Amino acid sequence: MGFYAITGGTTGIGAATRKLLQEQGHTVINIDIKGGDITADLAIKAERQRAIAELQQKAAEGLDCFISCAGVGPTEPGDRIMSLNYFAAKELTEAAFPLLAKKGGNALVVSSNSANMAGLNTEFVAIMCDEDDEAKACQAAKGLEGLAKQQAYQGSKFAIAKWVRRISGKWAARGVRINAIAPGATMTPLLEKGLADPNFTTGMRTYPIPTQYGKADNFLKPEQIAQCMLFMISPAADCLNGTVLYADGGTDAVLRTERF
Amino acid sequence: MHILEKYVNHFNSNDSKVFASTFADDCIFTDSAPTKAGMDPMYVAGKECVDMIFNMYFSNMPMKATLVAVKDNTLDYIISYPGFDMPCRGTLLEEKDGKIVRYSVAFRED
Repeated sequence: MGFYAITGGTTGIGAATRKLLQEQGHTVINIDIKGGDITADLAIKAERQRAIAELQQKAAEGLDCFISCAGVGPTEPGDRIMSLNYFAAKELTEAAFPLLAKKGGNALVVSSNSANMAGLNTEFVAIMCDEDDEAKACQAAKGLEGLAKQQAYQGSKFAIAKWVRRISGKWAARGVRINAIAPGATMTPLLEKGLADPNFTTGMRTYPIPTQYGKADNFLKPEQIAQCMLFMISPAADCLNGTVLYADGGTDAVLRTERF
Repeated sequence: MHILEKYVNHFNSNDSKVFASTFADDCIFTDSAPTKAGMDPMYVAGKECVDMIFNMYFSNMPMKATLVAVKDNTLDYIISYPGFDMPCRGTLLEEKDGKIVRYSVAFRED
């Protein structure tokens, strides 16, 4: 059986993925702010370093897969969004590389289908992807209020997918696949917070999800995303690398039909 | 009433189901005008997708179509939403049983 590590495995998509892996008999190390095998607030740099050190100790023999799932939505403060969704995701996944290389494993990073929608703040993306400056990114996003915080969320999710694509060739050539998944509107605590926020509720409720059209249930379920993730990290997907898979019921296809 | 006038009236209801009722089940709606506002062009296939996509638009920002002229199969109009007035030209490419089958919108340069 395999040895896996996941961030954000306590709730939402991460919890559903962890559960499926455990049901298959795998060992899963969960790194999360609450209820983890390694407990850490990954938005804080020092906590991140401690979590990495603990992971290196617990997975000294190597990892079959590392899944970066921890993230927050656009209702959270902008600086926290930047730190957790991009810098923590990148730093922990990078730290997992030598562990993955030991076993010829693979990595999967959770992005979002909102990453490529209209309104992307390309300056934020450049600060993250090109300047790699966490302090500057946090400063830029700190003052955002209300709906404007979507820029931080969208930017961070675009940036992490871009990072995956950028390093995917090098990693695969060294025996470690890496991919990203871009879930659509999925009923998780992150979405619930958005639905409860007057700035985001209408937008989230009216996102077109073709597979849910005419159904009582407007949103996707974490288990549906987790099933896609299980495929992506499985040997059956051994030719997938640098892929951003839209697991969104068709939202991206109907809103960005002509661009892919 | 010309079907393109009906299109404008149904658009102005800001009700996606009413708007979608203007179209045939297997309609194709294309719109390149959003690219002028930095958005993606639209290719909408099927009445259900007209409903879904315009439900999102109408729910998030009130939109208004102001009719300028209807001539034969061409509709000149202005689409207005907060902060933007966009002159458009719609071309009815196919109609069947009083419903739009194929309709194409572009930014109106004149």
